[in-house]
Amino acid sequence: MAEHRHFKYLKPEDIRRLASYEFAPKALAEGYLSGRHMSRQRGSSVEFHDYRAYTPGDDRALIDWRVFARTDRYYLRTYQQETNLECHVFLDSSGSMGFGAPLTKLEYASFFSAALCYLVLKNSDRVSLSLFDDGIRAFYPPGSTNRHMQQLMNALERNAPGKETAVSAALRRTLPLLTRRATVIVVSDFFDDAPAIFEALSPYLHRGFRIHLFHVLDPQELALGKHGMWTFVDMETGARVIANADVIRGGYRRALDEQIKQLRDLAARRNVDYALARTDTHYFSLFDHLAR
Amino acid sequence: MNILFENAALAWLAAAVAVPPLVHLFARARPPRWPFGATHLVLRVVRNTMRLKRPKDWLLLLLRTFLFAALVLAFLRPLLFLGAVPVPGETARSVVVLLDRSASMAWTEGGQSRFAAACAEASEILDGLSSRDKANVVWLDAEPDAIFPALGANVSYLRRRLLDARATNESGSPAAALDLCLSMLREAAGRCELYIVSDFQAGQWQDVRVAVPDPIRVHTLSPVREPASNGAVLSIRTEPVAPLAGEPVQIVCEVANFCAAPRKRTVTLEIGARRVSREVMLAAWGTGAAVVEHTFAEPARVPVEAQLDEDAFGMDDWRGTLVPVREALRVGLYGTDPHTAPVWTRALRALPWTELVTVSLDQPERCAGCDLLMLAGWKGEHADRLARLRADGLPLVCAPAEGVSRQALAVLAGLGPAAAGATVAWESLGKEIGLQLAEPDNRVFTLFRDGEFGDPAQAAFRKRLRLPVAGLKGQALISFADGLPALYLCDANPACVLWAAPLSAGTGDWATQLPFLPFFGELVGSLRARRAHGLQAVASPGATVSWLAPIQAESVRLADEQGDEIAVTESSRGLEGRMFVSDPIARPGAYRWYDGATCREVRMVNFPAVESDLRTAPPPELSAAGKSLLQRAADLRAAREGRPLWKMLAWLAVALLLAESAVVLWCDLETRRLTESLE
Repeated sequence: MAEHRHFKYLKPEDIRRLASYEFAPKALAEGYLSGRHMSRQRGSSVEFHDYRAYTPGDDRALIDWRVFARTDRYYLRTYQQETNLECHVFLDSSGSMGFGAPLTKLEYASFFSAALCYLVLKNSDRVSLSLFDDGIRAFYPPGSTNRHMQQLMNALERNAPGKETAVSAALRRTLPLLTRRATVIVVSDFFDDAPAIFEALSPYLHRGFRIHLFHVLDPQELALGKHGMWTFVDMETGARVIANADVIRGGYRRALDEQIKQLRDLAARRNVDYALARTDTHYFSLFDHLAR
Repeated sequence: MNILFENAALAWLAAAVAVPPLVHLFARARPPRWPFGATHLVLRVVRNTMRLKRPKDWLLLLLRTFLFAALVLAFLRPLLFLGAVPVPGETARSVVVLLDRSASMAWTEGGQSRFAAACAEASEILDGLSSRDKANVVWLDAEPDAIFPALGANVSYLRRRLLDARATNESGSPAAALDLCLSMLREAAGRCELYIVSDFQAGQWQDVRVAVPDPIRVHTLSPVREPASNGAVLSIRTEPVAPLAGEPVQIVCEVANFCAAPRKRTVTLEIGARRVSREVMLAAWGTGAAVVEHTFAEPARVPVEAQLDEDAFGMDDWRGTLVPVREALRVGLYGTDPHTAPVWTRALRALPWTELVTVSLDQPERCAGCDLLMLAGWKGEHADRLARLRADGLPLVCAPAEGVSRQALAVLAGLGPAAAGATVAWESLGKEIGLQLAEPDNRVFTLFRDGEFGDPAQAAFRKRLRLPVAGLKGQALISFADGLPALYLCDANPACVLWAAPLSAGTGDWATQLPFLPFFGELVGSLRARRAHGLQAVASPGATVSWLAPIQAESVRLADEQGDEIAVTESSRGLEGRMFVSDPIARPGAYRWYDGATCREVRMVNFPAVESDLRTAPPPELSAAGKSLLQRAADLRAAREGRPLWKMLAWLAVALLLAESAVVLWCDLETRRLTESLE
């Protein structure tokens, strides 16, 4: 892979560390170039997959005559086809992602997304990037070139927290743009209606997409660590709520836990990977979820 | 109701009431801003917790606003007027304080007598007078009098007199006291006010009719705080009133329980040297009597004293009397009627316990000294004089002469006007006629019930007097066999007996019958006077006692039971002796006149019985709305000068401050509890 200039979200030391990582999603990808990733698409390959009974119209060259000699029946040998991988990264760029210190959730998610794109492209796979808030702010179609990489990095650097969170709307609008089965990675704080999100993910799942949800939260959001009276200003709408942090802490934590639990439960039921990403942990640890 | 502000110039402070709401609003904007991501979760939680928090906030705001309002009002020093606000330059006031110092005011409650409380109220009234006002204090006792002869401006002197005043043991005379007050106020100028400070004892005040002229404003103040319970010796008397030596006598001591609960009291009677105790069960608000049988051995004036076991109001627990024990009954005989006078004379001389005194109707004082007056052949003369004697307690036995009219007999018996026409007339009987008992149950005939003394009606008459008794109320004691009255007992008190049975030898044989003398004795004994003539040994507190000492008396003095001497003066000197009169007696008790070291006479001074019943009942005229307000002197003063409210407001502010602190503390605890429960 060609040398990269220094990007904000992809630093040389990170690139060095990523050399030892490999993006190997658990599901097989469907690509149009033969690659190093296993595909459920049957075809010519050296990796035996299975036998199946012959049906008229099948390629006779695939009949295993040895089996015919032993069983007097026609069976075809099937092989696993290795294809290149296509990965779609959805990065939540809503206003609430601007929360956090010293690193905002958006910055944290951008670091992770940049590293992810680098890993995908490093394997000559294709990656796309969608930046959304209450709509699609930017969509970069799948690509695997250095130029594409630079475009993605520049897009991440230019990105800033925007309006309200609408994950479900973004997923619904992006679906027509994705023609091939691929891996979908959604990085968001998911301050949206969880059932609506999974309703929007249903078409992806139906088409065989492998989906990973990374729930990015700041420790301050998780613990509501401040004390006393505060005017909570909504970063998306600007609405103000005056409350005593000490009074509402318990209820807040319980509400947040309920939301996380709901997302986790819905993800488990739909066979979707879910991971809670705390901004006080290094984003490299998130790759473990992709490698499993 | 009106309110004036003494510091109205500080009205601008009222703006401070707006401070709490402003602070409240200002405090709400103070929290630092925190741009936050999950505000929707915060909002959801806050919506739940604010349901509890909002009312507390409003309560705190309310308490703080009231606190500031109370402080501001306290600084403005408001004065509350229940009536109209007084106008500066109002006319001077003329105030008379009628202060009850009768015996009932000595009742002590809470360590202070009612009289002391009344004096304090009176002082409070006097304190409220200005230098232009005039005042006076009238004492309500047996003989009401005033400190000043007319209204005066020296209020400080009145207050000093109030400090030195003591309740008397006298009964009160509210009507006379009110008359005195009103006479002073009628002559006074300016706004006239009468303050009646009394316990309004029911026995004294319930019959008092108050007619106060409209310009005079009457205020009543009562020092009574709680109902009082009391026991008292109401009276002590003997039956008969003037017993004879050797005669069985009942000494009756009447005791009252002025209390809502029944009580058992012990009465100790001292009869000369004899001491007897009796227990009396008394119903609530009831009376009872302790009765002791006694026989006086010899004629004398015997002191009899009754002492009740002591209670909180001890002055009325003692009462004494002097029993005039005599050797014989004095029976006056008037007239020389041959049909009755000789026989009555013989019979009275035959009775050892009677003393016959021949009287003339021209000497009424000599008649009044008798226990019974017998008129033999009364022709109707001096009927009014005799009627007065009878009305004063002298019983009469009258054998009228022929021709005496029914009207004269009616006047004699005190029965009022009777129909004219009929007169007393002799009647000769064709054949002898006997007697019969018309009232066999009368106590005159008690002696004859067992027959030992014969039949008192055993007699035969050939002539008789026909009495015109038709229309005269009464009944025959003994009647002739044909039903006409022989002895007719008029319905009068004391008794008046009309005698129609002739006792001379030619008219009948009743006087010669053996039962006649016992019957005559029983008749005289039963008709004896119910009062003791000439006995002035009992007085009331506040009155003087006197003694007619022998002319040769050298060192006359009067002493009470403790030996303390009472000042006496010689009021007159004559052939009968030297009259000594004491200063007014203050306390009930037995007082003894001494000549040198020898006790010559005893006088009893008894507590006025009307003062023992401590129940209160102000006259309806005084209780009527608009005429009087039953309230404290401080209230009256406040109504006139305004009641300062700043102290109350200051206390209210303190209370609100405490309440605010309590609410804040409660909010903190609630917040902590909520936080802990949520965590």
